[in-house]
Amino acid sequence: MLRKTIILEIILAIVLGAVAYGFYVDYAKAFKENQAAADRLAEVRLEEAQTEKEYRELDEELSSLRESVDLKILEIWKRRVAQLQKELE
Amino acid sequence: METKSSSASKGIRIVFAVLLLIFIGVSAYTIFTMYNKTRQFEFETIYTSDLIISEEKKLEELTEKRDELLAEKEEIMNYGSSVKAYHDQFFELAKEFENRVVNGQTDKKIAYLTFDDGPYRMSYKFLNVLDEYDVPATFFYLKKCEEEGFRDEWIYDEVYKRVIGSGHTLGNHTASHQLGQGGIYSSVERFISEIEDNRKFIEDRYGYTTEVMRFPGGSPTAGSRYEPIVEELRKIHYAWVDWNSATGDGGRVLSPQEFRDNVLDNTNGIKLLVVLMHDYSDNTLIALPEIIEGLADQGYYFLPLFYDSQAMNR
Ligand SMILES: [Zn+2]
Repeated sequence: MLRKTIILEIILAIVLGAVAYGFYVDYAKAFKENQAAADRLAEVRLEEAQTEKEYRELDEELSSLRESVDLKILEIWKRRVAQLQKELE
Repeated sequence: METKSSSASKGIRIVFAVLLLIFIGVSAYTIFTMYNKTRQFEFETIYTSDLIISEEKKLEELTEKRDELLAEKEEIMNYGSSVKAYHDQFFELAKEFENRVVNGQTDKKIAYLTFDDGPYRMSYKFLNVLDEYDVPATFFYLKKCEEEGFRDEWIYDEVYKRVIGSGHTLGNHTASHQLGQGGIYSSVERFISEIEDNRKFIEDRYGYTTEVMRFPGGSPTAGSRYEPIVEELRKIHYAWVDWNSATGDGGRVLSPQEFRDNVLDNTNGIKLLVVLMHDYSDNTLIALPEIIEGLADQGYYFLPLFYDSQAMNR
């Protein structure tokens, strides 16, 4: 009788363990995915911050650069090249 | 013995039952906690993924904006060389286009609008019309500042800068344009020194090298000096051009309509039409829009003159 009980309890423990393990596998997977997503988000945000910084610096730099050159003649030649290319098509 | 052992086994059973209960309880708690956490993680992951998508989109837009600025910066940094690159490309295409026109591979023809003897106080009005029609032209200019006592120097200065800065061709028309006795045609040396003087004047002031020229009065005016002069012109890398069309504004003052018709009624299907005008003529200025429109209607495409142009003599 006792032996039977022990065997039954061991079986129950194994079943419970298996169920718990199943849940653990899901848990581990969800944890890993969660972590990966968080890492990716941090990465994107960092990159974004860097790009934003570069953009601001460039914008500032360009506002003075734009004043230093007259881009009109470049636009004219570009436009004329495009017009002639169209004419030659 | 029997009862002793049975009560002992009963005790063990109770202990086992209690242990089992604890085990079940702990397991259930653990499973419940893990399940909750798993759900929480999954939920968070979905939320984070959405965030990542929107942040990535933001990053992409930002990167695009930054790259645009980078390209602009690079363009400004390479400004001189990109202007030269487009300038050179334009004249390569112009050569190809001339070839097609001359070889009859297209129905189009080419008109070269030319303005002689400037700069003038009113030259900017001509430049405005050309700007308005987005048409390039050629200006054969003289070195006037010293001769005219610097009176109009600052205006001339603006005209030169605008001609060069708007992609027109600036040509050499000698320094003084002085015809007759003791003038530019009195000797080959005199003529070439006038050309060199004007070239240097434009180079020094505006960093622009002229390489096309027109004989004042047209090449026949040079008479017997023509051959020796062109021999010298070749040595100093000049191409020269006369004209096969004119408003006639260099002679008797006619009405704008007559100036216009002088050009439009006498194109005779000429494939490379070099139109002579002067940017001092009020009536040419009035006629200019209709001349441009009329030539365009006749199938003319407008080009500025250049050294290698088929319209030029070399
Ligand atoms: Zn002239």
